[in-house]
Amino acid sequence: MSRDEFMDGLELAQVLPGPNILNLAIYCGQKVRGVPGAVAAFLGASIPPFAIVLIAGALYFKYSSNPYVHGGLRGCAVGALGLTLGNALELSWDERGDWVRIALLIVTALVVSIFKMPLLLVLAIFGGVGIGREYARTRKGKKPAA
Amino acid sequence: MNATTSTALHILWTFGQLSVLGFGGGKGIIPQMHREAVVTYQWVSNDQFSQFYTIGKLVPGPTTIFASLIGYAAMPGRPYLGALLATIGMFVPSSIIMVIADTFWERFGESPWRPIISHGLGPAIVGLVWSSVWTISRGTAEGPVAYAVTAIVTLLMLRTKLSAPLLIALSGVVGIIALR
Repeated sequence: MSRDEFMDGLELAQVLPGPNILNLAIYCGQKVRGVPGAVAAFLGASIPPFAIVLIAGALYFKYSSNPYVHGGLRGCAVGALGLTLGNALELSWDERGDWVRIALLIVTALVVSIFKMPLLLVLAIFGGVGIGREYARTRKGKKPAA
Repeated sequence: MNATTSTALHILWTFGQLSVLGFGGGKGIIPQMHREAVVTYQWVSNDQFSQFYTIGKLVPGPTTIFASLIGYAAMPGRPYLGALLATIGMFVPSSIIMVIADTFWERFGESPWRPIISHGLGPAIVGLVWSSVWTISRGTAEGPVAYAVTAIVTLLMLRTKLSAPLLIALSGVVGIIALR
């Protein structure tokens, strides 16, 4: 596979729904061996994490009532919350300077958190507005920022 | 239709929808997954949801693999079947889309639509990540120790190169001592 082909696959993997690593693995499998290659890549990329998470799950249901395990899990969850918060801050910081996009992300966060707007509607409305705006900017000849 | 079959179909349908809507690597689906798994079907509690999400972040591979754990909990009589169905629902539909797109969309990187779609979806995805923070916080510990750990992990994540699993593990040690 050429470098260009790989970069092409990476971009496709990021734009389409699904985990980027899994999508990229499928792309590579398909480039090398067609659909059977894609299936093999899918299995190769999803079976190991599935097996590991199953073991984690079995341990969880066996031991989560133990006070030490319980405390450890609660601590881990607080850490994961911090990581997610950091991720949200990092992604929002990337939007600085563009007030329309910042307003769009704040409104999205509020309607999802408070009014429980379904994901399909969120993507159709707020994703749609964002895509429409990028489209208009591109037509005006501005280079898209991404 | 018996209870097992109906739960099985609910699992496939729930995660299948999330799979197809999982733009941005799946970062945006957490609030909806919580709504279905905790509120609608009551497969797991708030605390379990946040802890499963944590396990998803801790193990190698995509975070959304924690769908397996929700499937596991959703079918107490047949946990491995539940886990398998949730994983198939979560990963197969988006993978099929990937295969189809690659078949019909040669040289996607040169398409003018690529930056328009990926950049245009950005604000909605980031808004959903903020909503995920809110969602996860509903099932995590409260009080000064918990808030301090969250703040410190956030800072370390932004300011250092420490890995996510390491930061989660260190938070776990604090939890064993102070959050029992």
